[in-house]
Amino acid sequence: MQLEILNIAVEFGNKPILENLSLALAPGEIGCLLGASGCGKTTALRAIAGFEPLKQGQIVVGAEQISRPGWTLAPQLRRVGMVFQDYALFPHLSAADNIGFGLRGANRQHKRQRVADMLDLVGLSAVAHHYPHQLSGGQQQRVAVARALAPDPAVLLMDEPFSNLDVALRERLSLEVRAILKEAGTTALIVTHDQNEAFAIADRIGLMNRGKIEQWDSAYNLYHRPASRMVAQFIGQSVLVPGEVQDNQQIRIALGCLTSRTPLPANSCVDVLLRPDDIIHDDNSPLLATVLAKSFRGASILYTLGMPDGTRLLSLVPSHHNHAIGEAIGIRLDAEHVIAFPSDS
Amino acid sequence: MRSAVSLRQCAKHLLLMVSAITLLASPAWADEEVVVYSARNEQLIKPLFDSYEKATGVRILFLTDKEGPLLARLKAEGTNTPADLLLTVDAGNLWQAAQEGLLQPVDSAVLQNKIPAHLRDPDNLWFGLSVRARTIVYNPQRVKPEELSTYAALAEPQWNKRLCLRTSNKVYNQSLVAMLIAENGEARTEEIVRGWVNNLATPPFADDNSALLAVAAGQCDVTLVNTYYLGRLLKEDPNLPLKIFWPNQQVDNSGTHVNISGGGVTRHARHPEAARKLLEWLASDEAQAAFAGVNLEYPVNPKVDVAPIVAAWGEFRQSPLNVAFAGAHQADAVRLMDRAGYR
Amino acid sequence: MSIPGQAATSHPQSQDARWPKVAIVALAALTMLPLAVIFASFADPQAEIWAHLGEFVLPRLLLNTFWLLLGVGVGTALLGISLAWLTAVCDFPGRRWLTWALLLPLAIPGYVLGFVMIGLLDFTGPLQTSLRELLGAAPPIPIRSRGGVIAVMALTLYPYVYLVARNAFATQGRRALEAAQTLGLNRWQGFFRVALPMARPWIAGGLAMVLMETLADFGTVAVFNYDTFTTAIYRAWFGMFNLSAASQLASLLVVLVFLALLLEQASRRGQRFTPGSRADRGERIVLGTRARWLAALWCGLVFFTAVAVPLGQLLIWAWQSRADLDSRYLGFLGHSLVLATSGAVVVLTLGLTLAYALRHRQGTFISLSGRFSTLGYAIPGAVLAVGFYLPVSWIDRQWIALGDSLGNRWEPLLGGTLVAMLLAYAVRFLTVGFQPLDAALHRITHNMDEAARSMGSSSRDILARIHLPLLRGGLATAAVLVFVDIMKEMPITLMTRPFGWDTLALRVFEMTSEGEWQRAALPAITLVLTGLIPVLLLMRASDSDEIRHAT
Repeated sequence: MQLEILNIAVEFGNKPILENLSLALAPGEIGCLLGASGCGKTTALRAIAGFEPLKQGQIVVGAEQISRPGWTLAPQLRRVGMVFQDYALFPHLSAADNIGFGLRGANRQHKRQRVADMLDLVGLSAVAHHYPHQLSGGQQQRVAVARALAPDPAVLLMDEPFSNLDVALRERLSLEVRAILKEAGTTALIVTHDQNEAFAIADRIGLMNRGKIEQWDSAYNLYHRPASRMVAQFIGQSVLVPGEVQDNQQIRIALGCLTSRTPLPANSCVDVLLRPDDIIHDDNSPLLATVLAKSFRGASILYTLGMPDGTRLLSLVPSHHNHAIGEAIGIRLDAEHVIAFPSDS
Repeated sequence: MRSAVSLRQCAKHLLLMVSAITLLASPAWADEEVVVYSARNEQLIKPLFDSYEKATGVRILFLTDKEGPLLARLKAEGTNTPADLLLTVDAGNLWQAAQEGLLQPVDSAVLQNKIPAHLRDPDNLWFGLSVRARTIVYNPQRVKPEELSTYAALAEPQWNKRLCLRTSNKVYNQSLVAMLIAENGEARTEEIVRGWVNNLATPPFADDNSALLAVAAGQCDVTLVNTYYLGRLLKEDPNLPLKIFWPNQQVDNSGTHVNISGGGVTRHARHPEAARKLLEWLASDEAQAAFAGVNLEYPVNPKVDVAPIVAAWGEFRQSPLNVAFAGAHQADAVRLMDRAGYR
Repeated sequence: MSIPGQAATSHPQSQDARWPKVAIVALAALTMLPLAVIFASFADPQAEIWAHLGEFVLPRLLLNTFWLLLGVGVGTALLGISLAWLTAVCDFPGRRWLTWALLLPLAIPGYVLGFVMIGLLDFTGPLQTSLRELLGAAPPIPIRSRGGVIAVMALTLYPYVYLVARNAFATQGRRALEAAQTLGLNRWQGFFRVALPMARPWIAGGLAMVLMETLADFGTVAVFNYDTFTTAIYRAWFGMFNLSAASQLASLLVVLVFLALLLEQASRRGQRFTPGSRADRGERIVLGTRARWLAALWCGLVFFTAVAVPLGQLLIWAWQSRADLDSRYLGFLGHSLVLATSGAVVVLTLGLTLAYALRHRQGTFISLSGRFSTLGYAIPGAVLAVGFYLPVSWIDRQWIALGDSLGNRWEPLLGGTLVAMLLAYAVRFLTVGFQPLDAALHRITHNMDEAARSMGSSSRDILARIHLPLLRGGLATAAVLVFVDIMKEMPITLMTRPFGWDTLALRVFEMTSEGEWQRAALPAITLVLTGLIPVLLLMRASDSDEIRHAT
């Protein structure tokens, strides 16, 4: 493992910010901490960078332990690069000088070559001598990435790297940055609140909630196999529908019978996670639901539907099936293995 | 925005205040008044002005400043100057004011009778009002008075590392050297000043007080100061090991160097008569004691008694050279001191 | 992210294009008037004096001046920057009160500290005297020396650097430093390669003020009998009765300062220095135990030497001369306060006008004129006073002549009025008011103006509702600096005051010019204590600013 975080805890004063947080990244892997603001993801990043001391646990980069309670290797000694949310470019230095800033000890020839390579990598050779205020937002962002990559860090950290960019640029750049990181073979950990960004850039994603990682997994598994109610609700769109467990992991809900992916105690009450693509619009179906709201998405329409018993459902329907609000339409269930969580009550 | 509003109001109030004060401060000219530009400090003249006002009912308006700016101001104001009387603390600047045509002659028998000829301008443009003697002060624990004789003798090698001096930037030293030039010529004077510089125990001090204290503390043995500085120090601590020696008292010597604090009526004075009266009063026996006494100086009027602490220093013979020479040779003196390396 | 504080240069505003030029030219003319008088002295050539000066005086004085400038520059930079960094970014015991206490030397005139230090440390002072009594001999402390005068001037002038550097460090935030750390620099390296260069324009502005004040200073160097260029000016004037030669020397000084200012400006062309957008000012660097106490010790030591010692000595002397205290002191105090307050208002108004005019208009002519109008600070006070008084008297003479021709006896229009006095202060202190305002104004982007304009605000509206609140910090700083400077000012006050308008500073002058330092302590301490009030207010204001920004 290139980056290993074991059971770390961080406190501000006596207020716990991170608790029992663990994750690991293999060399060249890109990880992402995803979560709403205030969940502690930036603090985790700052702990790895060495700006926050640990209360518990340890952080290991390569084979070297860099943080443990009572001891924090100085940030400048840990070969951990960081891209800040506001980039923190040095306004008094040109793009090239910003990128070359961390290349110390290298001889001049080597340094110049490295800066040129990095400028090339991020495609900014043409504006090498511009000052930060003369660059566009996207260019500044790439200078920040190049600057952090130039000293060849063992791990690269990025704090909401795209949040200052407009949406179109954000998607393009996140793919671009992923390509850059993969080309450089960099192990990276990114923090974001935007799941699309996380899906686009990361190999592994940790969903954070209240200072803990709820689930550390691939994007596919986070979506299809959420480990908790919280994960299920945070990732993608879904509804929870009450049901009752019968034998053989069969769950009965208002719409019919489903199979649980995980074993559940018989005769218990559960909430079944239904994604919009689990509900199919079928004019021939005897099951009817009323359209409560609709949201046009181009190729498809996302319908919010109401069942006679009050259950709400989401259904993604090809957009040529255009129904008015209040209309009753036929639906059927198209899910074989579903995720269910024991009811709260 | 509250802050903006209050700022604006603040500015308005201030403007009102300033304009009101400006109006109030515009001087209103009364007939019975004299306007004085004084380089002599407020605390040294105000008591006298107060008693003059009380005695005569004449109002005295005065401004203090350094001599240089006062002369520049008089010159700039030209015919419109409000000043009637110019007071300085040295003869050089009075001479300079006369040179610049800023003073008018005063024909006054009183002034001529009371003030010895060498302490006033031959053309009656200005008059000395008090005498400031620049003399030798020594530490009796380290120097016998027999060793001392003249200003020039302090340049002898026996005083090597034993002399303290005030800076040559001070007009008192410039006047002293100017008078030495008048007596001895430039070449000889330069030798003397070089000798002083060679004998310095420590770099020149910023003021006479420091030089006196250095002598008392044994940092050096002799210094050249105006007597009233010693008077002030002794008033505070009579036990200081400091004694006065009057230099140049031998028959073939010229006498101790003196300068004056004095004044003259300005050329464009609006109240020349009142100014003359004030000058005459300042030279009168009653005012002389106070004018000199407030700063432990010597009265110009030799008949007037000095303060007891001053009387204790004994009588001395003043240099009979007209103090106007101090002005005439002052620029030369400064250049000479530059050449001699006296800082 | 788009970097804020963007080009003040990019949006010349066309709709009111006239007034900035007029304002700048008018302000430049106001300063140029005395400067012109000073330069006009060349019409009266003084070849002989120059030959003398060149041979015997200038070589030494230029060297002296050079060392003094270098020493005071380095000294104020070291003190100002280190103290600013510690109080703005780090945390240590006593930081809160030291933050404002370290500004107090602003209120203490250099010649006072100089006199106190010489009095305490020289051969005759209590330290060496008691050492001699104890040990028989004492190692001499060369206080009356180049090192001594440099130390004293650095200790009184460092607040100019401290104030601006502290502001720059505080707004920079820790982000830049952390970025440097993740790039392999330790805190020291990060400080020197990132924090310091980023704060450079502000520090340079503060240093420019320090150096100009050093060049123009006469009082402090006189106490040390350390001859500088200014000494030569006064020596030519007072000693040789040659105001022309003095003015010629002074004009050389002005040219030197002007070139230095242009050079500094040119050296950072193209770079832009903008504070970070995020308010991460609440966080402070947590120092180790030893470092904490060292930081506290350093700041405490500076406070002790620059404030506690002179204040203590002044208090003792003031007590000894307490008999001098009479009802007239109320008058002196009142005059000082009125002059300093109204002077500050005038200077701030003009400074703000200049800053705005420069914001609206570019071009070589404009920026040169702008530079000219702030040169008054580098001219020795008495020389400037004469340069100012000459044209004032000329105007008065014309005025009175006009009155005479109409058969009326008119009083002088300007001479002996507060108006002339305040204008003279404006010429002298415009740069002191201008610098902080200009720095603050640079942080207001044109986007903000345009946003407000798009919501229908008028120019006046924008000024009142957006700029003034945002400029509050800069205004407060400028006001305090000007206020305190006027409180301490002597030559202009002496030359231009109306009859009876004696101030505290003039009381100090009257006493010290006859060597009565003990008696000068009473007005001096009153002056210092009065000067403290606005300094304290400034610190309170900037404290609450900090809190506001941090949340």
